[in-house]
Amino acid sequence: MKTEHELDALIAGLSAELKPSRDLWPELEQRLTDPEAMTEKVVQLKPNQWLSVPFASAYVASAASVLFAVTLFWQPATPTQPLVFNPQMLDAETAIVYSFEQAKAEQLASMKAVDPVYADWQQQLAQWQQAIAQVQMALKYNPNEALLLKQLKQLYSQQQNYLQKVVQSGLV
Amino acid sequence: MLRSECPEQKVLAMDDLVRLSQQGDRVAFRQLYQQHSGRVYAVCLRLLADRSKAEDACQEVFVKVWQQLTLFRGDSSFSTWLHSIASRTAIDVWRQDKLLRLATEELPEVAGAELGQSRELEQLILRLPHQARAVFVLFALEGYQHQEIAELLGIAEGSSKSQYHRARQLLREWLDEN
Repeated sequence: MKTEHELDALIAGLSAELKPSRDLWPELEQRLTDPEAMTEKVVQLKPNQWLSVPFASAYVASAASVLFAVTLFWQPATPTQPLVFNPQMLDAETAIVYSFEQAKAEQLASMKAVDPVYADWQQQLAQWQQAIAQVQMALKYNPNEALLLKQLKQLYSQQQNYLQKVVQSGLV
Repeated sequence: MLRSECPEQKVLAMDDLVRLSQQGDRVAFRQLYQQHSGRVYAVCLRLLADRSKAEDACQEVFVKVWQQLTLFRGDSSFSTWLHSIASRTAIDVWRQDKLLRLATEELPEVAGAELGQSRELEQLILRLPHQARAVFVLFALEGYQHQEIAELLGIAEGSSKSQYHRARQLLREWLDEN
C-alpha cells in the first residue's frame, strides 16, 4: 500500500486548475447579457408549439405540480431574508423534478436553431413528458418508491440527452 | 495547499479587471473568467464528480460573481472572494446531488481528458464516496479546516475528520491496486 508520504506527494502534484471539455463562456455570456432572456425565450417557444401537441396538458399539469411543490417547500429562513433554495428541504421526487426542469429550461433558452433531422423534437419531448407524468402519477400512490424514482430520473436523463443533441444541432 | 493568493505582479491587473467588471464591462469580466475558470471548474468537478454538473455549477458561480460584483469591496483578494462563492455554490449542488443519489445508484458521468497529468489520482478522487470525497477535496485541496467543512456540509467536526481519513485510506488502497 502507498505510504501516507507517497499519497501526500501525489496530492501535492495535483493541478490547481482543470479545463472544462468545452468552452463555457458563450452560454455564460448569454446569461450575463440578459438573465431574463432565458425565461422569455422558453415562454416564446412553448405556447404556440407545446400547446399544439397532444401531450401538452400533461406537461402543463406536471409543470404546475412542480411549481406547487417547490413553492410549498421553498420558504425563507426569516421573513426579511430573500428566498434561498434549500435542497435539503425537498423530497427526492421534487429534487429530481426541480433539478431537471431547471436544466431543461436552460437548454431551451440556449436553443437558437434546430437541424431539420430533429424537426419533430417537440413531439419527442412531449412523449417523454407523458411518460414522466405517468411515473409521477404512480409516485402519488407509492411515494418515495426507489424504482419509480429511478425511472423518473432515467426518463428525465434521456429527455435531457436528447434535448442536448437538438440544441447542439443548431450550433453547428 | 492550493488556497493561495495571486502573485504580486498580477494583483494590479486583477484590480483593474475587477473595477471594470464592476462597471459592467463584459470584456474585462471575460478576462476574469478566463483567469479563474480553471480553478473554479476544478473545485466543481472534484466535488461533484460529474462533468455536466460541474460545467453547470461553474457557469452558476460566474453568474453569481457578476451579479454580486458591486458588493465586492476588496476586504479580501478577489481570488479568495471568488473561490468562496465557488466552493459554496458547488457545495449547494453537492447537497442537491446527495438527495438525487438516494433515488438511484447510477454512476455519475465521470470526467475524462480534462483531468490533466495526474489523471489516475484525479479519477480515484472522483470514485470516492460522496461525503468522503467532499471532505477530502475541501480539506486536502481547497485548504479548509475540519471545523469549516463541518459547517459547510452540515456534519460534525469528528465526522469530517473520520471521512477524511477514510478517503485517504481508500485512495492508498486503490493506488496500490492500479
